[in-house]
Amino acid sequence: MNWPRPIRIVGVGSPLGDDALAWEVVRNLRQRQGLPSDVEVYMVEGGQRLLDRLDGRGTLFLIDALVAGTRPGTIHRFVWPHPSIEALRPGSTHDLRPAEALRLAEALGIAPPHIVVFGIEVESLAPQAGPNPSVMAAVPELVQRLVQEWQGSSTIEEDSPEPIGREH
Amino acid sequence: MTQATDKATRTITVQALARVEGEGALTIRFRDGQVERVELRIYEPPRFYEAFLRGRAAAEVPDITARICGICPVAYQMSSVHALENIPGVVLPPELRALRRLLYCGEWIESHALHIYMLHAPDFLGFESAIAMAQASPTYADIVRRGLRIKKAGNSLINVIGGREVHPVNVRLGGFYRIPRANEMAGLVEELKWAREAALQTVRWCATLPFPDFEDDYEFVALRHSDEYPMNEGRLVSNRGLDIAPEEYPDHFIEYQVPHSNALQSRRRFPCGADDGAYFVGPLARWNLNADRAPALVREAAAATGIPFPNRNPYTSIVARSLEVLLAVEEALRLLHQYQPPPRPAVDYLARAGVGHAITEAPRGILYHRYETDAAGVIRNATIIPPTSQNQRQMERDLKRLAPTLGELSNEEAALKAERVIRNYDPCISCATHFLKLKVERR
Repeated sequence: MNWPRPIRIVGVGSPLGDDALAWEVVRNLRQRQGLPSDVEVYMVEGGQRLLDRLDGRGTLFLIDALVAGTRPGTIHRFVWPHPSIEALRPGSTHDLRPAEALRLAEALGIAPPHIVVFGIEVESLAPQAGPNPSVMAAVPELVQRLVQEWQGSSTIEEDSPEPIGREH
Repeated sequence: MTQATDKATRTITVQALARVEGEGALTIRFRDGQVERVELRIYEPPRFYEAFLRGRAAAEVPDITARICGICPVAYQMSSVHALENIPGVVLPPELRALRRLLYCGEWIESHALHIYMLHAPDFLGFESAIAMAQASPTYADIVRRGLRIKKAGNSLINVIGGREVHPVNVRLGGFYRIPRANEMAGLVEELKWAREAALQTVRWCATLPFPDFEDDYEFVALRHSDEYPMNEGRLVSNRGLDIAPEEYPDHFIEYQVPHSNALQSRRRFPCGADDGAYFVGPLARWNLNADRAPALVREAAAATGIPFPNRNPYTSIVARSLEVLLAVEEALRLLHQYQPPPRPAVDYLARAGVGHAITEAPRGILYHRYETDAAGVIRNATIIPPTSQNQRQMERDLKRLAPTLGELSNEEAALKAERVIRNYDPCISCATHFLKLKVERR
């Protein structure tokens, strides 16, 4: 599918432990030669900052950690709205969860018409010295898939049509 | 939520008290229809900041303590840096002092806008959340949009002066690491002018909210400065005659452990009223004690609300908070108008052994820090008493007063009313160590 522009790729999370995977994906994309001018890449620590990156236009690709009981490093892809997106990131009183931020964005008229969420299964969301290698091994594949998405060469419509995940 | 149906006893447990910062729980126990006990339990694990600051260089402290809170990191930087500068006797030149006040304005704006619009206003309007409020009508969506934009204006100030929006990194002992350029500062002005008008609208809007009648004879405690609305310095005063220097704080206040909570609570060492040492800090206390120090624009906005101040109804804290948003925006514009990049980012100082205290006004109320350093400037002891610890005893007292009215209510209604009382204080349980769960036991 040729996604409407601008394309915004937004990683969510902290730079600690397995949560660092989105940081790594964002770093990787930014260092890429030939990043098209209509593709913007951002990193945010939580849902509220995500709102700052939305203006009701184009396509949003969101990257976040996921705890769903699958193999660590498994890449899940959902098209918003999708119940599994509710399972991204535990609720925090300091911030909005990604799903809450997207609902608020819709209410405020700033949600882009197309939203695709990549959730990567992590081993642990606890802060720790470094990310688990099993999780970080998913980074090259995810970067490749994001490139295919903005190039319109991805043939995948939706990986996970059924709800997955659990409250955590 | 659970409920025991025995006629004599009834236990209600609400699993999560939402829209406060951090993790905690509330138990209200009734025996024969009478309130027996109210316990605000904070079970978020202790974070041991005071312990792991020992052995660190004084210069590291502002950056370490900033990590205590993602909403009010500037407060932790300000109290720590002032306390540590008091040891070698650093006196900041006025332009660096003004820059710190400007940074604090940014935090008051973002933290207060978040609490008013996203956490507190839904209570008064009967919405489950700000998301539900925004979904309710285009008018409410505009209101939420306004709140988020005000918040963003505050965040931009922190970004420019503090180096980044969350956990800023630019404050150091003696001043700053880097002085913002004049053009960076000038770039903030237009949005803050919009924010001033939006803050005026916020004050008018908050004043129309329905406030339950809940007055009490509180001891309000806040800083008071000789000629400005307090942020970074002043004497600590109350409406009951307290008037002390920050270093006298330990002589007048005591931190103590309660069995039901991981957070320490705080009370007056020598209680002088019927409230058993509980006291009230935050925007309502500050405004009650310092309205005469506010710029004319803010005093006029307060008068136009028709709400009498000083005010003893904790529900009007949302109005005080909105007045402080206006004040912080007005102050920020004044300071930006005067801004000339200081010639040096920081003044020199020599480390020495000693003890330093400081109290600054975090958005939620006074934040006390005390440090003891050795001759090399290494921390030997650290004490940090956040505003939520100081308000906790007062919150429990308010809940005790509220509790008799909860007896006939459903579990959901009882939980919501209790949550509303707690949210008047904008508690940051993470800061106090520390999500609230409500348990009502009726025996």
